[in-house]
Amino acid sequence: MRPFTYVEGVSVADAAAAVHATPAAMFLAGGTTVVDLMKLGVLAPDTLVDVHRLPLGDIELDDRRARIGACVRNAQLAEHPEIRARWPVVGEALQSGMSPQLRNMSTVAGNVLQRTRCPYYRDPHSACNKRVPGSGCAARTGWDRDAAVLGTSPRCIAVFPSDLATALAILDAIIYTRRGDGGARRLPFDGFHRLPGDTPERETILDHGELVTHFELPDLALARRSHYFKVRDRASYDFALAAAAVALDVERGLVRDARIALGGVATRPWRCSAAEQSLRGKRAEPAAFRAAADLALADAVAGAHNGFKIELARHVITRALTELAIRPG
Amino acid sequence: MSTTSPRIGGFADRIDARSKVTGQARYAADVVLPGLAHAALVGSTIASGRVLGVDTARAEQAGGVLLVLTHLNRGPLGDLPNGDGDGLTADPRPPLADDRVHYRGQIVAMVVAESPEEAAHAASLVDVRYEPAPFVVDIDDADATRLADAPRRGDCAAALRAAPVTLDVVYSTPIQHPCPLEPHAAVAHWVDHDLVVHDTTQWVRGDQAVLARAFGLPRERVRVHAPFVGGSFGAKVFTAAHVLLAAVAARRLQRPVKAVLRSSEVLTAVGPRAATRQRIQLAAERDGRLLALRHHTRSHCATDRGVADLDPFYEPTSGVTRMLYACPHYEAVHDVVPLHLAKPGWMRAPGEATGLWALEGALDELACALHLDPLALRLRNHSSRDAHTGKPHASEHLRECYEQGAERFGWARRDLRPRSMRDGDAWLGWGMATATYPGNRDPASVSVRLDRERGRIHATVSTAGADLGTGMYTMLAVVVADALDLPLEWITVELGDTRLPPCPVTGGSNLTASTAPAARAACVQLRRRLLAFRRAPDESADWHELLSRAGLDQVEAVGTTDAVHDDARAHHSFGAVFVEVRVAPELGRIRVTRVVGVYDVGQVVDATTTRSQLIGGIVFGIGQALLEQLVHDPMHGLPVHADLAGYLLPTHADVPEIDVDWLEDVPDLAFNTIGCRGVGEIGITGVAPAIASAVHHAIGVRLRDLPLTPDRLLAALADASARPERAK
Repeated sequence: MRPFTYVEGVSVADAAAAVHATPAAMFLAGGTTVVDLMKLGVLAPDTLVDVHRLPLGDIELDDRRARIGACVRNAQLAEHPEIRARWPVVGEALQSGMSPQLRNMSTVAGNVLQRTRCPYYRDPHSACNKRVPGSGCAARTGWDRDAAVLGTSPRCIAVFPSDLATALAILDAIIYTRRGDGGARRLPFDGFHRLPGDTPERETILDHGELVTHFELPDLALARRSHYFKVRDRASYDFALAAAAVALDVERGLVRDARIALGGVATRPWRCSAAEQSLRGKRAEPAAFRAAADLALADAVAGAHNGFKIELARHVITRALTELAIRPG
Repeated sequence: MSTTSPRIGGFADRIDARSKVTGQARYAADVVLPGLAHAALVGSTIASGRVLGVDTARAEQAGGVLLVLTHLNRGPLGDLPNGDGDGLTADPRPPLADDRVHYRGQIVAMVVAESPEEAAHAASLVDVRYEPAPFVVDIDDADATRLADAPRRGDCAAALRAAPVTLDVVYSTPIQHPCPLEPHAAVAHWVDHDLVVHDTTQWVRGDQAVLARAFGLPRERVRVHAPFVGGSFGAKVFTAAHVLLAAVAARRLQRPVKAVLRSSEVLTAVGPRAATRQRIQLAAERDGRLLALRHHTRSHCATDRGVADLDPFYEPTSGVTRMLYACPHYEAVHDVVPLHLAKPGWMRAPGEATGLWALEGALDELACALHLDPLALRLRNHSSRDAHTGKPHASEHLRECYEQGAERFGWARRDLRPRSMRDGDAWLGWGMATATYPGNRDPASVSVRLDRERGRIHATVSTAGADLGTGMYTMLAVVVADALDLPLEWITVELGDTRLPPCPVTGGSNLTASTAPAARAACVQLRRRLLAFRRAPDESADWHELLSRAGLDQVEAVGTTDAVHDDARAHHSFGAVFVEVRVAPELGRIRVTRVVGVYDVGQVVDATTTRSQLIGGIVFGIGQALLEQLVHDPMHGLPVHADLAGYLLPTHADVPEIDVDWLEDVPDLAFNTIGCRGVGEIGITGVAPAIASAVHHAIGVRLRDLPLTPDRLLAALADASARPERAK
C-alpha cells in the first residue's frame, strides 16, 4: 500500500472539490472495495477523501419515490420495511450478496460503483486494460470461467459484480451527483455504467471528483412484484455466476409489462429490453419466459471456460420469472 | 462451578474456550515485544527462471525501512534437515539461497520496517528483474515419472482380463488448500545469542531442529512457542521460509521481527494438496465380490528437486485403496508430475481423502452397474483384516458403523433407481461411502505435576505438542481429571513449547493416541507414589493431604508412549457416511441437505471435542466435494482467486445439520492403554464420494472431477443428454 493523505470530507461540495483538485484522489466511503484494492496494489490514490460521515445516510420516502443517500449502508437498505414492500427486488438482491459484516460496512453508492472481481484486474502484475490501459487482457487467454458473456470487447471481458445494480437497472432509478466544479447532475441509471469498448478503465460516466449523493427510485407499480434470483458456487457470500432481476405486471394471465436485467454475466448491469418487449401480451408462463430468455442471451459470446453461463442465464431468467408469476399477490 | 471430575468419554467443556472468546489466548501474530519490527515479503512474479537483479534502493530509502533481504545479502544459513524426527522444510535449500525461481510467489526478497504498513509499501518498491523460463502448471500438460514403490498382490492384469464384470474409470481432484483461517505468522528474536521464535506450527520441535541446523546452534538454544494455533490441517508442518528469514533479520537488526503472511501468500507459497488423476480398474463377480483393483495415480510435485529426492512426500492415494476391501488381486502405480508450483504438502487425510474419492466413486458405479445397493456391495467386500498385509485389525467394527448409520439415515427406504425422489422442482438423492483412517501413534512424553496451593491441590499437565484448535488442552485435562479424580478447574495444561516434555508433530491424527496414554501413565506413577502415604488401604485419596504427609509441596511424574510396534495386528478407524443432496439440474446447483456419520474411533476421550472434530471433518469434506479448487493460469502461472473471497470454503449456508455418532465400548486396547485412536482426519474421508453418489442417485449423472461445480454439472448433463448412459 502506498502512503496517502487522508482527508475527512466536511461537506458534499468540499469533498467533491477536494477530489476534483487532485488527479490521483479518490472518495472513500465504506472502504470495502477501495481499501481492499489499495492493499493489493491495484489502486494507489495519493489522497482519500472520506465521505462516509457526510449527511448522505438517510432513506426518505413518500408516495412518489424513495430517496436513498449514497452512504446508506447496504444492510440498512436491505432491511428497510417499506423498501422491501415497494421494491422487493432491492432487498432480495442485497441479501443475496456479501456477508453480513460487509453489508453493515459498505454503502449503496460503493456497491453500485464496485470493481470487478476479475482475477487479472486484482493482480497488479497481470496484463489488464482496465487497470493499466493498453497493457492487454490476460483473462482472454487465461481463466475466464467467471468472465462476462455479454457486453464484452476485445479489450475486456471483466464481469460487473454488483447485485444491487442489477436490481436498480429495472427500476428506472436516477442517480444524483455533485461535481467538483460545484455543478450537479441527474443521471438515469440506464447508461450510467459504460460498456468496456476501447476504454475499459472508464467504468461509469462520472467525471473525476463527481460524487454520487443520492439514488432515487420512482414509485413503480410493477416494482411491487419484483424478484431477484441468483445462482452462485456457494450458498452464501459469493458473487453471481448468473442472476436476474425481474418485475412483472400481469393482468388476467397476460403480461402487460415486464422488466428483466441480468447480473453476473455482463460487463455492466444488463437490461434485457428485447426480452421484455417479447413478453408483452403473452401468457405469463414458462414457455414465454423461455423464449424471452433466449432473446436475452441471443448475442452472448463465450470464451474457453464460461460457456455454461449462457445456458445458466437462460434458466435463471426463466426461473426468476416463473417464481414471480406464481407468487401470490 | 462444578467440582466433579469428568470421565473419559464424557462431554467436558473446553478448558481453553474462555481464553479464546475473550481474546486472552495469544497466537503468534498477537505477540508484541519491545522494539518489534515488521516484515513484508516480495514474491516472484514469474513462474520459472532466474532473478537477474534486484534494485532495493527505492525500498531502502522509503520511510521506516530497516532492512531489505535478498539472495545477494541474506548471509550464511546452514543446510536444512528434511527427514522425520529432524524437522521438515518445503525446500531443503534455505530461502533466498540463489537466483533460481521455481514458482510464482516464491519469496525473492523480504523487507523489514518499523511498521507493517511501511514494510508493505517498501516491498512494493523492490524492483526485481527476471529472466523467465518456460514453465508448466497443469498436471495434464507435463511428463510424469513413475515412482518405484508399486504395491501389488496377485495378478491384477490377468484377473482384469478374465473377470465377468469390469469397470475402468478416471477420477480427478484439483489442487486444494488447507487454508487455515489463522495465516502463517512468526515472531523471531535473539536473547543472549539464543533464538526464540513464536510460530504458527504443528511441531515446535520440528521448527527447533530446522532453526538449530540453519543457524548452527545446539537444539537447546532454540526455543519455539506455539501455545495456540488457529487451524492448520497440515499446512503448518513444514518450517516455512518466512520463519527462517524473520530469524535472520532479527539477528541482523538485533530486534524482534514479526512476519505475518497475507492469505494470498498462504495460498501461493504454502504447499497445497496435490492435484490427482486416478484411474481405477475394477474386476468383480456378478454378485459384486471384488476380484481385482488396479489404481493408477498421477499427482503433482514440485520441480525444484530430482524425483529421486521426492521423499518424504507425495499424495499417497493408494495407502487406503490397498487395505480397505477384500480383493485378491491388487496393483497400485504412482506417477508424479513436476509442476512449477510450491511443493505440495499435507492436507487433512492426505491420501485417504483423495484415494477414497476414486475408490468409493468406482464402487458406487459398480453397484449401479450390478443393480446392487451400494451398502450391500461394501458389506460383500468387507475385510476384517488389512487386505494388503493380511494382518487382522485389532479392533474393527465397520459393519456396526454401516448398520447404525443406515438406521439413523433411513437408508433402507432408498429406491435403487436414480431420479426416484422429487421435491418441488429439485431432485433428491441419497449416497453413502466408507470412511477410514489409520491409527497412528508416536513416542510422546507428558509430565503431570501436583502442587499444594492455598489449601488445595492443583495439577499442571505439560507437553511440547501443539493444539491446533482441535481440543488437545481439554483432552489432556480430561485424562488427568479422570485418572486423579480432580475437577477440570484444578487442572492447567501447558502446550506448544520446546521446553516442555518432547512430543511429536501434531499430524496424522496421532496426538491423542500418543499423549493421552502418556498423561495417564504419569498419573499412575503419581498415584502410586502418593497412595503409599495412606494410613489404610481404604482411606480416600486426598492428594493435598497425602502430599503434606509426604512432606512435599510438589510432586511430578513424566509418562511416555512408545511408537507402535504391533507387527501382528493392524490399527484403523472406520466409519460410514450417508448423505442426502438436493439437485436443481438446470441451475447446476447441488446442496447437501443431510449428513449422517457413524464412526469407530476406539475409546473416545472427550466427547465434546471429538464431536467437533468429526463434524469439522465432514464440513471439510463438503468443501472438498463442492467448492474448493486452486486454479493456476496456464499462461502466467499465477493462482487465480488466491484469497478467501475467491478460494471458496463452505459457509454456514452450505452446511446442513450434521448427525455424527460413534460406537461406544470399542476401545482398541492393543493400540494403547486407553484404547483411543485420533479423530482429526477420519471425518473428511468418504464425504466427497458419498455426495457424488447422492448426486448420481438424484439425477442419474456421474461426476468424477472435483469439485462438483455448476459448470461441471451442466456440462455433464449436456453430455448425458447427447449420449444417454447405457445400462451394462
